[in-house]
Amino acid sequence: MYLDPSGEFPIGLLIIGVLLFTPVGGVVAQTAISALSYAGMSAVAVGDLIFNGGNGAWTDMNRIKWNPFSTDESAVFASNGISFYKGSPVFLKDSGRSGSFYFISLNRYSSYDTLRHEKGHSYQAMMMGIGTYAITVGLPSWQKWGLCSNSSTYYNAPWETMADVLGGVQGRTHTQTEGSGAWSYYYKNHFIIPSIFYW
Amino acid sequence: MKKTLVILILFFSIFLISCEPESYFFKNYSRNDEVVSIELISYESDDVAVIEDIEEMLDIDISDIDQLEVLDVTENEEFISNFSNIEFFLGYSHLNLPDGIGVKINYNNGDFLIVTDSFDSEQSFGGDAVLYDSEGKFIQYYGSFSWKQDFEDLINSYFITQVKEHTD
Repeated sequence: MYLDPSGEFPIGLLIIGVLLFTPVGGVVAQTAISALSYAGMSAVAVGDLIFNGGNGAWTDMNRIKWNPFSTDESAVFASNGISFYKGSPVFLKDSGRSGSFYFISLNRYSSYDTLRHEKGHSYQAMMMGIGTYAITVGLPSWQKWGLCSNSSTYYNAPWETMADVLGGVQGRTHTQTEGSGAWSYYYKNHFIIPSIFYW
Repeated sequence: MKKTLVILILFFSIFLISCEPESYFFKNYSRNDEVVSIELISYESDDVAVIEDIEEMLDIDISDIDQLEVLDVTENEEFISNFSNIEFFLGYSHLNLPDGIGVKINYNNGDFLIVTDSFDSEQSFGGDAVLYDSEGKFIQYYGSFSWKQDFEDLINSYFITQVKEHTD
């Protein structure tokens, strides 16, 4: 039997649980990362204007009209290195994998649908919370579990299908069964994952 | 125990970024300006096998390449532009040789890029983009396409021969 004389442990645990496994935590994480990124990008942009003629970050921010909720995919891909897309900070790179975790890391040679898919993952992360997202999307994606084990069925995995649907991917269409499977995966894990850690 | 677990979850959360597989697009391919012709071809071989390592790739027998159609040269640029939007994943098991119907993009020095697929729903491998030299020697593997429908649509848009995934 464990005792907590201060009585603070259950409250702390509850807060951690809410942050890790509920949309509250997901929204808090997204808001914090977006706000910090916007402040940082703005500072870098002003610095770029003062010290570098404004051809870098300043131009990038002007492309999206300083609107963090910009929906212009072409503005993102035209950027030198930083941008925002539908509320998520985007960092562009010349090579390597694209990915997302409340921010989007984007290979500049990928497609508009890659950006939309990554934004879909951002929505997932908000809806699931940090912990559930990491375990039910990050882990199987990283480990290539299930349908992710084959290149041609990668986007048919429920967690990837969900990102396609939420992000508004236009080049890939999924069947109703795949869509239902994606939501079923979300609902099940939303309850099962936190339950595992409660004993 | 629970605190340790929470710390572990936080640790994983930071590092388990939902990364897509490493991908390749032909958008910035340095040889896009060297394309001289684009063909629809068919290729079959008894030696085709699923492999894990690029070092197991085999050279192609160019005499076994069956040319089905040649794209009008005026459409080459547009075709390459659309082809460049197809995503190829790296780091997966793939075939050691082309298999099925696909496109052959010929470059001005004789090298050619082949992407084929059997369009057989039972066959989960295929769609590999592979560069060979003029004699059919393997040069480079660029990955396997991530969405078959994109490739199917591309072929059906530019060639008279129509392909469709079959289930027999």
